[in-house]
Amino acid sequence: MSLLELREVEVEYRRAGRVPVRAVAGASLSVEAGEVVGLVGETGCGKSTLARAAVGLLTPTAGSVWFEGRQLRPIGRRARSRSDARLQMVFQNPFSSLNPRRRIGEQIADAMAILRLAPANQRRDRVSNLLEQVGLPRNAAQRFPHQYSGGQRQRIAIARALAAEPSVIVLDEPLSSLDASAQAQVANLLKSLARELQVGLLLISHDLAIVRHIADVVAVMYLGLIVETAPTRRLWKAPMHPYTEALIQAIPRADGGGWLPEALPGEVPDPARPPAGCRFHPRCPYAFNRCLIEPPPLVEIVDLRRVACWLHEPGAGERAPSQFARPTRGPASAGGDQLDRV
Amino acid sequence: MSVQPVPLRFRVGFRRRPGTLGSAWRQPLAIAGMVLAGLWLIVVIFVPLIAPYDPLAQSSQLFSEPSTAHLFGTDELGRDVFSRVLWGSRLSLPLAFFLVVMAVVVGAVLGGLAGYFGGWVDEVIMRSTDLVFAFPTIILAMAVTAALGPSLRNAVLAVLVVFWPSYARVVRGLVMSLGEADYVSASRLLGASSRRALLVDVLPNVAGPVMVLATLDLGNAVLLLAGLSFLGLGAQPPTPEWGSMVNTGTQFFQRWWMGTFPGFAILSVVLAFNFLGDSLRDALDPRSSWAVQGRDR
Amino acid sequence: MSPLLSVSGLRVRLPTASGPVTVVDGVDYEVERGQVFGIAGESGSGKTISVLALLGLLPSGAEVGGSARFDGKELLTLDRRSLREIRGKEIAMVFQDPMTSLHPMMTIEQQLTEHMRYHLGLDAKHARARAAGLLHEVSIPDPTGALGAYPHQLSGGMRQRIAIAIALACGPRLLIADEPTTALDVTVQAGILRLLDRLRRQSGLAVIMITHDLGVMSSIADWLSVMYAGRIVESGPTGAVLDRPRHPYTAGLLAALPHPEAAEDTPLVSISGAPPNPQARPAGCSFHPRCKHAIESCASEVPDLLQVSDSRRLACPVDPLLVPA
Repeated sequence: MSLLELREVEVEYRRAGRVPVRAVAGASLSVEAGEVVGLVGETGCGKSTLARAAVGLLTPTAGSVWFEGRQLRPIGRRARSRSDARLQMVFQNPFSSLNPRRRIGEQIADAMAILRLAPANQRRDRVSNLLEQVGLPRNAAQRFPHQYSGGQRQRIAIARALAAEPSVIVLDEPLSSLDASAQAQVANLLKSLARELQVGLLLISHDLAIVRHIADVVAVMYLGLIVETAPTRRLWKAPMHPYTEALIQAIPRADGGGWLPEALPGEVPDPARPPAGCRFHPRCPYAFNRCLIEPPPLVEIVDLRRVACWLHEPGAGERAPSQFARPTRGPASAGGDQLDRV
Repeated sequence: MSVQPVPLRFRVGFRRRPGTLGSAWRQPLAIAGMVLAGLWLIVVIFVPLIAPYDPLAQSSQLFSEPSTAHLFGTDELGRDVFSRVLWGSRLSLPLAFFLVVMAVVVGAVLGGLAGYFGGWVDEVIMRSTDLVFAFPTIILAMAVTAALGPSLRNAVLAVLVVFWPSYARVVRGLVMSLGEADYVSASRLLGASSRRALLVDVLPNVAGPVMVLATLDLGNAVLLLAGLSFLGLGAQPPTPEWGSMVNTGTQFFQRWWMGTFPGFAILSVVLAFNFLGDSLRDALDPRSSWAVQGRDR
Repeated sequence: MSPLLSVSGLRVRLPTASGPVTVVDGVDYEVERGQVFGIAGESGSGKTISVLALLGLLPSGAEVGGSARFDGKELLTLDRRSLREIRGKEIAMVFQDPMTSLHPMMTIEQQLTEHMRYHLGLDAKHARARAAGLLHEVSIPDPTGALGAYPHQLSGGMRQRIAIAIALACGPRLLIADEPTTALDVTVQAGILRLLDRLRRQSGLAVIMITHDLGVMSSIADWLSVMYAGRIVESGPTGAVLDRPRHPYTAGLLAALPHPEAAEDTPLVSISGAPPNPQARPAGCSFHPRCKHAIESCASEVPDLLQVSDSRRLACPVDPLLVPA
């Protein structure tokens, strides 16, 4: 039984007088103990919305979220139950996720006070231990958030989440606002936390390269849907969805080779008016007739690998589209840069 | 090829340098405000010891010019203007303070409820504020006082009516925006009840802007009360209220000292609170030393 | 042929609450015509301030020293009027966030034609035609439609392309791009990089590319200078520097990158500590507190940027052969 499970979750936003937008259009994934799941996608794919729904800050319009075998109750008027509080979140912006007027020691100790996890006299020690665990000095508890850098504040936010003794932590782009040095440090910290404490991590990011180093399993999201999930190494070796393949090819390599990364033609469509059939078909180099009509379901092709693409039949091999499929339109990098009419 | 030291040249600029001001409280206006307010505070407390005459005591020396015996001269009933001005502070300042505190409390509670619950609660409260805002402040205050009957007590009530909506608006806005703040969500995720989130996370961050508004409003309260009294709707004679004293002064225009000194008293108090309010706003502004703080430069 | 831009001994001091702070501490480099010159560095390295100094865009109260000769003209001592002539016409700049570098209340057409008409003296009709042509050059799908749009109606990638079009409108010879793709998705970034590469090959445009992303540098820059704490610590042809870095900081930066080719389980090697705040730079070599190879003299002597081979410059006394590639 997975610790955290999302089953066909949909989140729809209603806007006055306009077409409702399904930011998340049916996503399923799961997180096990000690496992790091990386959810990757670009701007507008709905991953932040999915993160908030996964943790209970948003109520799904359809589908359900299951935590530790029970259906998760979203945050409402009443205070969250102690068991639900074992599902925690670290936010993207380290500057707005900490109360600027309270000392960080108090904020970290919040979980202990509210959930009655430790009596008052023990809290100080526990806070110091947590600070040490995330690589900050023990006496940092007396200070205020503005005295710390972005990377340090993210560690404080992680310490605050850990204080609730969580079994799963959802992290929404925790590394995006950080320096290269800080990114590496926090990434390593997250990985070791997952291993040592057997905490499940759902890590949302747009940076596929960094996710590759931390995550055990990667899920790729496009326009509100999860299009592929696979163990990290196998995803990189043979990305099966054309979008995943394009993402990997677009990453510049720092090898001094002067090689320009591949770009993806077209733009992300308006989530309020997604394309018919497969949502990726207007930009897909391998699209054929079926793709324009029928949306492909996310199915298991080989063990542990699921893809939503008509190019793959269940039971067929684990191959990247470029290895076996024929492009139905001009190669992505013909001539120059993109933004061709699609 | 090594780097040769090169003399630095100065680049001219006229813009005020941010961050080199040090504390907002060390600014000349802030100091002036604090000094003035401090002086008036001393007056309010020690007026029985400072004022040379009983403010209500009439004498036979009518309309005497300012002299060593009567620093500000005497009025139409021979009363010492200086003492009346000093005693007037005991009326205006504590009343203004009381008014602002009440307006803040009423406004913050109503605004907080509106922001938190939304729905019809929000609608009712917001339309009430709209009603008040639809009228010019002094007109509405006049109307209320006239309807209730001219007296200092009713003038205070009128000012309260016109002041509370600003706080309601501000607090409502803050409650609504802060409710979305990540650290509030984080608290809720940790199991905090909405009430705790409100008290611990939202309120302290609301206090700052409200305090700035309140400090500025102290001056406005003094002004409005004085204005109502000037129009005869507030304090009634023989109460030594500044506004009514200015009113009397206009009737006896040649005796300039009767109206001018109370007028200056009002001016200095309003200015003091304005300076203080501005400094408070600057002090609470998170803009500290800019530029070289490890940004992408 | 003499270089297009020749910077020598550039120093910049900025006023702060605690007194003036040296942000750029003696920088030398040369940019050739048609070359993409990369300046790599993290926060606090002074990379952005150093180019703002070239264009006279520093905040008032800043002190500038050294020399920056653009096509024979000394930029640092130029009067305001002449600088304004050069800005936009000979040297143009593109910034990181197109949402704040484009005017939110003006249409794209207005923003494109404004300085064109000033510098080139075109009338409205010609300016409009040229603007549409520029949008086509940067591969905007519907140039006429885009002309009438406002920035908030367009995506991040489109806005950055428009920012590039605006920069190139008057045919400058040098384009300064400060983190032009950092705020963009990786697929959109790839498009912008390809665009910049194509444009410079077509027109012989020289580009100063500033970014902390060594992958981006590798794809597009011919020459790479690495900045740390206000000084250049290493420079040379991009391929050579990234293939065999000789300064410990460059080597550290490379090691901290997630390598697509490396095994997944290896932790990211980060350089301990953080880049110093310009107000609190260490004595001697600014990098020494974080350097694994530091020797005694590093704490007191500031290493000069010396020529170590035909095309490489290095500011580090430690034997380069000891630094692992």
